[in-house]
Amino acid sequence: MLLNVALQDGFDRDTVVIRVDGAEAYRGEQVTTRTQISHADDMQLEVPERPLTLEVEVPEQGIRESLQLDPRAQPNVALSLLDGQIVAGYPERLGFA
Amino acid sequence: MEQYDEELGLLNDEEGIERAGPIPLRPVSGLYATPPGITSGPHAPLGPAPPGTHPIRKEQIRLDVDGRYPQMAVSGTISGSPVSKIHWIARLKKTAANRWAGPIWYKDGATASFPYTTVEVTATASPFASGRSAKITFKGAAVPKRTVVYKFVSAYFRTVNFEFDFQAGEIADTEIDTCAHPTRPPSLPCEKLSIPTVYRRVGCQVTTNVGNPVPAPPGATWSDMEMHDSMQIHWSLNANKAQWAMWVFYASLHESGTNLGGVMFDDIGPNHRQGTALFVDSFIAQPPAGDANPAAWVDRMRFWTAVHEMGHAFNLAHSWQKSLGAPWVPLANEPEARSFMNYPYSVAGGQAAFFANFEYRFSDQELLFIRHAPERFVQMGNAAWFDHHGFQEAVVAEEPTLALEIRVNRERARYEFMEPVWLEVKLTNIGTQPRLVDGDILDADSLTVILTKEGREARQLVPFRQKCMAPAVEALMPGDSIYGTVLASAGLNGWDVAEPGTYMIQAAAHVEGEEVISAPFTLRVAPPLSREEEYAAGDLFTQETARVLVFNGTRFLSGGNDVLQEIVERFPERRIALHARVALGSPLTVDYKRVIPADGARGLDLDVTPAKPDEAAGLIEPALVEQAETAAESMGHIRYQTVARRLAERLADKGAEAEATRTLDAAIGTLGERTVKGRPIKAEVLEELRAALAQLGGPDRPKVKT
Repeated sequence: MLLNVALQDGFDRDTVVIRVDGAEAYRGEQVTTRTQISHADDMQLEVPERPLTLEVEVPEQGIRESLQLDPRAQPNVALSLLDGQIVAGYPERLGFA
Repeated sequence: MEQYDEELGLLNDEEGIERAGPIPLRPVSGLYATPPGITSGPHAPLGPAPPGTHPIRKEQIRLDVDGRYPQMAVSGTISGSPVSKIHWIARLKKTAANRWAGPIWYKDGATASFPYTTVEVTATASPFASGRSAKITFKGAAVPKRTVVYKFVSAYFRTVNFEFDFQAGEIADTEIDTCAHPTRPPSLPCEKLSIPTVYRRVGCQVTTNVGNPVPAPPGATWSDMEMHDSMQIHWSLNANKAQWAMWVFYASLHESGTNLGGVMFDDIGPNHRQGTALFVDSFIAQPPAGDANPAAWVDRMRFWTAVHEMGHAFNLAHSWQKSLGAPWVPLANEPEARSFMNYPYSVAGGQAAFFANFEYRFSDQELLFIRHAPERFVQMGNAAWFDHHGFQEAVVAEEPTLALEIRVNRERARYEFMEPVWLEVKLTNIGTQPRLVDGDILDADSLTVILTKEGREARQLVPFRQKCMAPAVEALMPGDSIYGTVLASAGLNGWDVAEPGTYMIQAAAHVEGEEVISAPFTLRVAPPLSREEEYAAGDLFTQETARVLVFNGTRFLSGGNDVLQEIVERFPERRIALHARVALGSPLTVDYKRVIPADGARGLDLDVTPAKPDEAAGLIEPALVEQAETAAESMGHIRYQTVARRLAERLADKGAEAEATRTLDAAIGTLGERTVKGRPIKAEVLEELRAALAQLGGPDRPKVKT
């Protein structure tokens, strides 16, 4: 199934890597937030229909966060980089304005 | 004339409407101001004005204690000269009927001139606008209190224009039925709510322009640059300036796809936040499966998106990102706020929970911002204070009859490193009637000159010399101009046009209570050609050396003279050397007087150093004669011919007629042949030089102003 992932606030020319159960699923270079829409990038990741581990890494800042989620219950993940940490939210849907 | 406004409970006073009962008092909240030009009488400020703001041109307050969504605040702006402004905000608590008091918690601008820490407010309510006033007493520790009475101006805090345009085939629907969808607060009034009404409730007096279709092929998507281009083409108020106006574009889809419901796209160019867009066919047109009223849901989401994007144009951030970036004051994130600036689907419980208690409003800290923050933070197209929009608060005539121009006497405004920047300022009567102006109006200390290096904050030129002169009023006939010259490089504020880079310069002349603003003028300063130049600049860019250059030389500031002498010797081919030669030679052309300490009861004595005309000519001629063309371009024509006349006069006075003649001959020959952008020197200038030449050596030769 598809997991909707958005990189939202706090990114500034960062390299961002997302892994699903250890396998790299996304790598973005120069990822930068456009603050008026709280959006840096968004993607749909092919994921298994079961609980999984989503790892988010910002290697140049030494930041790494692991999230345990079930895509069947949380199909949308919003990730922000705030105060040196990855903060995750699970909105009803992903949309930007 | 006030209009009937359900929001504010105002009545149309001039229609003489018969009323059945007692006339209700209006809210006292709104905009108040001191009458312009008042210096005495009941409305004149009592107590000293904040120093540094003389004369006060405008003073206004925004009282926010009743009406819709009161923030229990009062804010004020005191405008002095075009570059002197104080903004303050106080928190208020009610102390008695129509009385409030509280601490001033925010100050911005020339705050050193505003020592007050508390305010006491007394409002005079009245059914009639002319009867309303607000008296504020400012108090602070160890400072005299200051009391000002402000007259009511408007029930609104801001005035703003919206223009709604739409992609051809789309509809700019700016209104919804608040009760069309069943998911809503039980207490929500049922009404036809428009976007302008939402912002009127914020406290903005809203005007709208008729919307027009923007052509686009079927199925077109939009990039930010295309929308920005369309804004510049179709927005009737499009202008490269800050103004209380925005363009709202109803488009189909953004090129990025359906996930983008709207965007304040205008982060392009020097004036941001003037344009917004919503994408009517994006996800905001996709109601949740099983929704009770899909059509009403879509209408509401489109409405929400439009107001949300317009909120960004007011410089509001999302509810959950208030603490990010550089907020105007420390702000708390509001991730659960039921505000237009929050995403409905991001709160706990999703959009159903959001709309279940959403009252079509902004949060209190957002209202506080729009109503009371310094104007430049809120106003569309505005930037940091004085960046690109230095004079937006100036009192500019609606139909100006005077025009001010900054120019340079060279084809391109490019300056060598270390070359002093002399600007020519021209004031022209562009009207049909004569205008009376002070003959000294274009002196550097009479103008306001703002200097902005690209990427830096603006600076004001503060000239070394401040004259106290009786006005020399003269009539400027239609089509005629007067000219002045200003050294932009340095003043009491330091060397503000010196480092390599691009500079924007703007000037204001002050004529009978009106400011005449020039268009921004851009020039470039080249980088140094060598490390030696870079090192020498460290000695040149000092106050002392600047004074030597500005005052055409000195026999006292030996440090500055030493620097200029070294520049002449080490960099003879560079333009700064021409200016240095003039500054070094000029004091040698006169019997130089100095007041020196003396022994005995007199205390002071006069020391006179005889002129050295030969030595002076040895310094001056290589600049003004041998490199006359370069000197004329570098100094500007006005300064070049003034300096040439003055020095020739002095040399002739001291018996150096041949040197004086050569100086004037060179000036006449050079200026007679120069053109800049096809423009020759004015014939009167050459006539004056020829007259001076003719009178060299005669008893009646004219004196040049020194």
